[in-house]
Amino acid sequence: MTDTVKVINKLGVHARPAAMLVQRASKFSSKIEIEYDGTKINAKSIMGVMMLAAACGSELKIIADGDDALESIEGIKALIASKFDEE
Amino acid sequence: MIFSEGSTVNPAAESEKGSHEFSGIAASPGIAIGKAHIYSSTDYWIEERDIAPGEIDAEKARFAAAVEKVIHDIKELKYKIQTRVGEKHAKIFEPHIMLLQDPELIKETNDLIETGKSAEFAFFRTTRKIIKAYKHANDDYLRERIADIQDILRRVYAKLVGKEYMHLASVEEPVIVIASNLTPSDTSNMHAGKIKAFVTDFGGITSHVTILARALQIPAVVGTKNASKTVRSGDIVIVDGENGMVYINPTVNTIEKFRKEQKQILINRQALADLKELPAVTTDGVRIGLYANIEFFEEVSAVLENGAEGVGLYRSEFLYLLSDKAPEEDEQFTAYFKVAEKLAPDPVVIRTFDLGGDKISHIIPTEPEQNPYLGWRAIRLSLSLRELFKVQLRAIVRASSLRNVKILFPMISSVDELDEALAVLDEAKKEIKSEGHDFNEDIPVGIMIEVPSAVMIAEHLAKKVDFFSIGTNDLIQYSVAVDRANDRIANLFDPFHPGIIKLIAMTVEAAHNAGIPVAVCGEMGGNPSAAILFTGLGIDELSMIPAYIPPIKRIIRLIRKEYAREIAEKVLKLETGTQVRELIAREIEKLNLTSL
Repeated sequence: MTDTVKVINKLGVHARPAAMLVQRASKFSSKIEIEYDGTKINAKSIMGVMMLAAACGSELKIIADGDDALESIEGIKALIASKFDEE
Repeated sequence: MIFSEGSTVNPAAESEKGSHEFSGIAASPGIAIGKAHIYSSTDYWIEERDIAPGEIDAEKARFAAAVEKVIHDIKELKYKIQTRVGEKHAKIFEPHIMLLQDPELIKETNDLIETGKSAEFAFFRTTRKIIKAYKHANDDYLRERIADIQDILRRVYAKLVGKEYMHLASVEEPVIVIASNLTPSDTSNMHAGKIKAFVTDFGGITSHVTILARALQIPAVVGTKNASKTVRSGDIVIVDGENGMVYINPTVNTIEKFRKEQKQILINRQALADLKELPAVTTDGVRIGLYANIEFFEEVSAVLENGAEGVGLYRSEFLYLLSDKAPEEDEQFTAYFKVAEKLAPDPVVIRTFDLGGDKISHIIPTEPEQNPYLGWRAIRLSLSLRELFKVQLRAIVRASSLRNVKILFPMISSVDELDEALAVLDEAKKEIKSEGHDFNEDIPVGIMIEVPSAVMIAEHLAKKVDFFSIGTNDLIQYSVAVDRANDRIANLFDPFHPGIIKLIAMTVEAAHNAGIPVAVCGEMGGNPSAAILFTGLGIDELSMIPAYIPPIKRIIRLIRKEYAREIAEKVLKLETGTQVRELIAREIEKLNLTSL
């Protein structure tokens, strides 16, 4: 199951949002990956998510595989849409 | 104390071999003399070691156990820091824990172990790969994380080889640590007994390591730019945390000089400690209030230890400079309340955010300005970002339920400005009232006198507020027209310029005519020579770095108000700053106060 989402908070997925994203992703049992700019990383890995360095306006592709794949994608999309509580 | 940043390596005038000095930022006071211990957290190399196929599972289990133990250790360390210096600093360790729980990091290491490599080497190789990637990252935050990764690498390695973590606590003899940079984990492991002082190439007055050093009372000089590359382990080093200087292989004479100074500091500290419970009263019975300038909750213990009567200046900027979004009302309320509660019933003067100028917060949409010190800063910025300003005022008003909180507006230059600020405060009070919170309806409000125009209209301003606080740094900057940050004209920045003394005298007169007290809360507040002058001019309160309080108290307890007034009168007739300084120096000598 895949979906795309656009990063809309001004500072992009910097450290704090990365940590929030990993925490959110880790709640789901599905395998979740994020693809951006030709790189695919494990959404449950802080190293990976930080390395994406996705700036504001980036299109992220979320790929989830597992029992709660749909919920996990919705959960991550909601977090990104909330601008990580930044603005 | 010198806060100016420098990068100079000066061959010492005395021509002893290898003798030189560095200047940096005086980060934590005190003087230390000892052997240098070059501490490097970057060059860490673990040799490749192969294991037998039968050992793979055991090796993976060994790795898992080591990671588990390190997570436990870091959680413990986090708790220790939290109880010692507060939650904010403890949060520094969160990335460490997340990294240690990172499934990719664990998986990659286990994959390497499966190819027949030792756990130590596998983990080293994996972390090395991330460090390499982060080094090239176009993001300061990621580059900073390198130190965290190195920290966990060292910790995991130590567990795997069954040793104590090679942190600074394992240093055997007392040394002076010289490092390019230190992680908070490094600093929190420093014990005053073994680590006499530290010197780093990077860091500023507000960096985490600096704050921790002050909390742990270890002398430190930071921002020396390249000391760690020049100094060798075993070199004899003097760290002068009072003046931000580091002397490498100094001459016997220099060592002698600093030994004496060190001894004097100890003697003074002891003598001063005895004054803690006594008030700052002149011999003819005039009392001067001595208060502390602080920025963080962690400094409250220093306020109490040094016998301050409260906080005369609580800088609230840190809330805006340290977080990545505008601080919310509750967060601010908690910060203010915590300080006020700990010090109650002693007063705590909270200055509303003094941003702009050199204190740029990325929360504020600033554009580069030609003359930032004459630009959009302090109260001007607050009044044009009214919502942000009101959030802060609401938080302060709520904290006033403790009845010891006061508000201070920075850089007021006109009555209109003050009226506008008071109107926002009024709105905040009304809101808090309608929400049913308890607060102090008559919360005392003061203004910073730091612009000459404010001095000229002080009689009008005084009618509208409860107290004045003179910010000498800015008052000097704006009166003498000297940009504080400009080295080329630094010699013109003269606290004893007769013009400045006159402005202070005028401020005191206007305030006292209106029946309100005046404080001095700038750097001059902690200057012993100035203390005599201020007493003579009729200043009611002085606020300064907590450590400066005992020596200032000692001076005040040794002089007569009437005598100080005579000096002030003489000073007001002088023509130059040099004459002013010379006159005060002569009087100090007469009083036998030179050891201060």
